[in-house]
Amino acid sequence: MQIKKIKVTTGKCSGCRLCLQICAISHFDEINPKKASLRVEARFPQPGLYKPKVCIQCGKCMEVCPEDAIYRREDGAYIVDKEKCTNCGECIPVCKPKVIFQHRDVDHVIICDNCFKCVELCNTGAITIFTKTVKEKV
Amino acid sequence: MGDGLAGTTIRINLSTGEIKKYPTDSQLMRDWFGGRGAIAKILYDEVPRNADPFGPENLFILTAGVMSGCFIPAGAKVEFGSVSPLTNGHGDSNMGGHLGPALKYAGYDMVIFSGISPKPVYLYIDDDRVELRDAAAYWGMGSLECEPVMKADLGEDFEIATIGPAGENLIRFSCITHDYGRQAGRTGQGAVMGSKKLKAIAVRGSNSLKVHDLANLTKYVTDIIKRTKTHPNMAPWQKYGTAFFIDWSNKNAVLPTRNFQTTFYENIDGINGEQLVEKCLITHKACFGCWMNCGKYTKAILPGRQVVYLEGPEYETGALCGSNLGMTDINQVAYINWLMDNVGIDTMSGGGVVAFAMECFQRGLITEKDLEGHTLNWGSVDDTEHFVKMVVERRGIGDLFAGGTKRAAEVISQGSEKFAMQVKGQEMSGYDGRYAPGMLLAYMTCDIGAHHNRAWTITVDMAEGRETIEGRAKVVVYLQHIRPLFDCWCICRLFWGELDIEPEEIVQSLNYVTGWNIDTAEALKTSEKIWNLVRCHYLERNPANGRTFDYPPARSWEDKIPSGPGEGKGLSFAQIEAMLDDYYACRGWDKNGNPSREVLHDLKLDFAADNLEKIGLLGKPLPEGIPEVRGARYKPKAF
Amino acid sequence: MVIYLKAGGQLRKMLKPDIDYYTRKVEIDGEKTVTDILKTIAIDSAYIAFIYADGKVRDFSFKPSDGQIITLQPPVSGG
Repeated sequence: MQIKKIKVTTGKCSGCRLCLQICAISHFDEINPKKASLRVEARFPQPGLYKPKVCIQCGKCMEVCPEDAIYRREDGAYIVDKEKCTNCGECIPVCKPKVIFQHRDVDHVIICDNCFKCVELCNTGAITIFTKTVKEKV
Repeated sequence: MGDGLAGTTIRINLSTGEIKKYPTDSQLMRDWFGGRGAIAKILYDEVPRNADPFGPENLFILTAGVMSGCFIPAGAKVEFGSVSPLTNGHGDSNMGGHLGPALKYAGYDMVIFSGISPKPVYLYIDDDRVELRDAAAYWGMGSLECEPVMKADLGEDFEIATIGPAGENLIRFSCITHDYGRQAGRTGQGAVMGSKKLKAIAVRGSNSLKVHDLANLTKYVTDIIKRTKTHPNMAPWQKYGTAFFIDWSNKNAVLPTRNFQTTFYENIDGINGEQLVEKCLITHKACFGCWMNCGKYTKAILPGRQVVYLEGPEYETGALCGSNLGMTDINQVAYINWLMDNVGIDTMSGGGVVAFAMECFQRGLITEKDLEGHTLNWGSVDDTEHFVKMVVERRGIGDLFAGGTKRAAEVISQGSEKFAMQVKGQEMSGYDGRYAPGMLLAYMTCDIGAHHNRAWTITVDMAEGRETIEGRAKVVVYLQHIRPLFDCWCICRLFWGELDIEPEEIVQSLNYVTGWNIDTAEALKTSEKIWNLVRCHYLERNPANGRTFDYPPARSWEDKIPSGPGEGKGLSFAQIEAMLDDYYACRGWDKNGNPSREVLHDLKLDFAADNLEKIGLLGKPLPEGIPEVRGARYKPKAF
Repeated sequence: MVIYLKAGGQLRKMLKPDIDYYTRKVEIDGEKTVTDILKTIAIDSAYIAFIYADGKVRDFSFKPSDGQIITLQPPVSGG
């Protein structure tokens, strides 16, 4: 099947953080970059680059979740069931790009749901959508 | 539902260490628009007129206003303000980057410092934790060196603003640096921080901001984002930033060259925007919520020197530390940019001070003996670096120049006052006004000295006549109302001004954030009110007729441009006087440059009129009355 | 030969776009420099900070080829 993922192109991000803002607005109806499910890592003073950290839809969070609160949607994306999630945070250490977050005002972990609103707003092409063919069925 | 404000203001008495939090005065923010406006009102109300800018009674204020951090394009600014040690009047300066939004997300709209700390401290804010922490470990460090150390100590997600050794040593044109290269450069805000022994501000925040109408704001902003994606001028902006305009300024005879001795630079090809992109560029760097990415993170490579990393040089630094110092290679300009950023001086005033000193050296008014055996030649990075260090460390004659060109010229005299390129004590921006009358008037009448950020008129001058003065005053007045609105609302003028976004659209997005429901006319009138209050404050602190302070340096009329496309050009003194007369008439001020009661009453500033009257500086009644609306937007006659 | 000029802001008003909001189509006989093209449509090149085409800054002596899009970049109003 075909799965869409976010691709990061090194060297294009300028650190504007529009992606963080629209992510939080879209999912929480709030202006708060700390509620976004991605981050922008700033590597200064050297080498002087920004790197978006995004969910790579690897599924490791689902593998370790003790509550079965993470499931795979039809389109292949890994989604948190907000009712089932106890916010235990077991998924956090296994996330390689470190993009699973907890926030004191939110009672579940914050994980990207592959909505691509961030990509829509990105003006530099630092984050784009790419389609990957995977063998396993959902 | 909210109004874009975070909700809390902090007052800190640095002398006692007392920290008080209280609900933000939303009426103050509404009536004075937050940002620069709120700063103007607080300084006017609370700083005694004889207070030393370096003394405990001066306030140092930082604020992120109403729109910063609110999903507004280029909504990234933080505004700093205090009584300026350069001009001895209201001073404000802002920077982009990410500090303004971080302050709002931490829960604060404004921090007001008074007093002087007994030892070096920094402000630490992590949501509701607000502390003054010992800064001994950081005191003495360069700004660009200090930031990564503080981030390593506190956390990478802290936003940090610092002063360098220049601010610590009260160099009057010291700046504040943030995000590896953004500065609040003008009016010496870094020196005020230094006088209070405040080394840095470190902020992290995780709260949500509430606005009046998030749904409509999101839709509005998303539309603007998509529209500007295809704006033809966006791609060149993203690629080149502002550095590119140095070539245009040069071709059009407004580029300051060797301390504004002339306005056309023969070595422009070595220091222009193309050179910057080809030789120095590492990455395009944006402020929070802005995708013009005008910041250029670069490195400077000079033989025999360490490679240094910086943001810039942007237009102003490229001009004032490039052609204005006779530099011939972009790496030289970038290195000087890094040097000044790191020691913590404004590259604009810094370039102006070094250029002034270079001309003094050229004319034999200062000699190698004054410079510890060094020369101070045009185009020499070695000489520039040595001189800058003398100034920052206040060694010998460096101590004199640490006060800026006006103070230095007063002591050196011997005719040097003529080429101290400043007004009211602050050095000129990177445009020469002799062949751009409106620009000269803008410098003369800017509230914080010879700065272009309030009004920029060069294309108007080109359209209307570069040797005539007609119609310039009302355009300058209009610009002096509309441009500072961005400094009030803490958003960047560059994005909104350069991409065809009408004032009405900006006001609409303000209304979605705040719910104020204002229109453009009200916005302009409030800005005019702020302008007049700042003028009154200036006159109360410097009691003399306002006209006294509104003249440019004598080079502006005594020295016609000697070379290049502007050769022979320059206004007469009579034209300069006539421009001032026009300007005051446009403003409803009398011929002495003092605001009249009539205009102050119209702006609800009767209290300020009373104060001026007490010291004999209230403007005389105007027989012709005041214009109903002061200032007019330029309507190009050609189209 | 046809070339397309694009501009925003005041320059856009000078340009009098006819293809879309930002773009004007200009027909020229043979190769011409940008300076000459601007003269034919009465735009003073002093209002243009630089020319941008195919991702690069070009000189005013640049001669566009058929179908090329040329962006006119106004000077920054202070920054």
